[in-house]
Amino acid sequence: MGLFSTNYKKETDESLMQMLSKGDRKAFDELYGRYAGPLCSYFTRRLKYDREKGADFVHDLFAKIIQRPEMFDVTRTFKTWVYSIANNMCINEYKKMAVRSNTHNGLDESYAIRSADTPVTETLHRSYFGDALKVALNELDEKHAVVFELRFMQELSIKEIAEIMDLNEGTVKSRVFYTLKKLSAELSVFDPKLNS
Amino acid sequence: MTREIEHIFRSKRFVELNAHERLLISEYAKNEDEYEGMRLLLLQAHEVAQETQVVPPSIKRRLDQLFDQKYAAARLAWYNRLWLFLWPEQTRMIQRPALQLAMLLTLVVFAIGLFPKLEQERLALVSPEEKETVKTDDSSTNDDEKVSEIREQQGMSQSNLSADEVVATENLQVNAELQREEMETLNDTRTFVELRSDREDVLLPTPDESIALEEDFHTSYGNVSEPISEVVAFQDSEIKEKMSKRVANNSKTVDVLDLLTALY
Repeated sequence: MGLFSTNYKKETDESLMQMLSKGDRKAFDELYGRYAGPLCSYFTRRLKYDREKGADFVHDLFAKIIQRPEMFDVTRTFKTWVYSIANNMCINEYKKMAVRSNTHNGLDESYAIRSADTPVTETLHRSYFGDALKVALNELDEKHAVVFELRFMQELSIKEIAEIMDLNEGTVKSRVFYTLKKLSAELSVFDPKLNS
Repeated sequence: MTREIEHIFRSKRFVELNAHERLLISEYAKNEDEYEGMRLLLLQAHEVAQETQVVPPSIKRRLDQLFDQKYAAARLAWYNRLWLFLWPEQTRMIQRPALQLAMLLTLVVFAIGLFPKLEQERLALVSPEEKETVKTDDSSTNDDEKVSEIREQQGMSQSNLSADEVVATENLQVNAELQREEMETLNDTRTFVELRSDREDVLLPTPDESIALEEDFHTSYGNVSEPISEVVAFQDSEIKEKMSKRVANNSKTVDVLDLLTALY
């Protein structure tokens, strides 16, 4: 903090949040600049790569911060707090999606969108390993996908993930281990020697 | 998976691992194929993470509008802004501009208040001895001035002397000789000079010069008391003797007076 001006770039997330709660527009802009992009990616990946929905979720999340800044728990870091809100929003969205999917659309449920026993040759024809990874992540169950997303995409620590998901660190570690093993097994069809 | 293990997977091939690193990664990969598969997965996950989604600008505009609506009521007047500038609550107390300005103002006020007192103290520090020295310096300068005035007067009078007054100068020379004799006889003369030299930083004249100086005084006094022209009128030897005695008497009294003034 300078004598005559505030250097918002050097401020911590928590102090920016306090300024925001007092109506400091620049503090809000700085926070938005720091977290809008990563949160949009997070929402998009978690919501089946729906970009529009991801952007809308970012809007909803920041709208909540503007409307009720007092919600911020000063005992926590802003990062874990905001990701826990994002995680809860995704969980709520999954519930809504589950309700929608339960409605009968007239199709026979035996017709799966993607067969689990996709031939290896077809999988190998995927030219891009990233696409395969995204598909594999989509097929993971929610709790493991979230852990992987937070750990390897958002690069949060085990402790932060445990705080966000309200779990103990041991559970998070075991989930990370399980997810890595599962994903590497699923993607083993790609010859690493050819890709490297 | 710790950061260290993650870093090993991302940075090294299996063949590049040392024994310690192989021990660390053994939990996740037991052979080269598993290691390379895991490595590819982590590298790809990192690449996917770099694909940061760009948020549409419309989202920001909507949020800005919302922000303005929320805080429009609390939109600050200029004096409130000034107050926020002077007293930002996010900063430490010592860094707040209002406090800093107040401290500066206090310092200036104290500095202005203390300045006259310091001046008075300086005046009070002048000791009485120093004052005396100043006074003596003044008196010495006054004496010098007097001497110079007398000399000037004498010079003027000498320039105005006519031929008749040559006799008067002869008388003065006689007086000077008498004075010299008396001075020699006086034992106090030497001590007087020494005293003067001890007390004051005066350039001591040579014996001839001192006599000339004494002459100056005597002539000046003589001018006031007795006009020399009267002496010129008498040419009798008796009168000369009387006059010489008279002048000698005068010179004695003058010497005593000079001695007293010097001692004073």
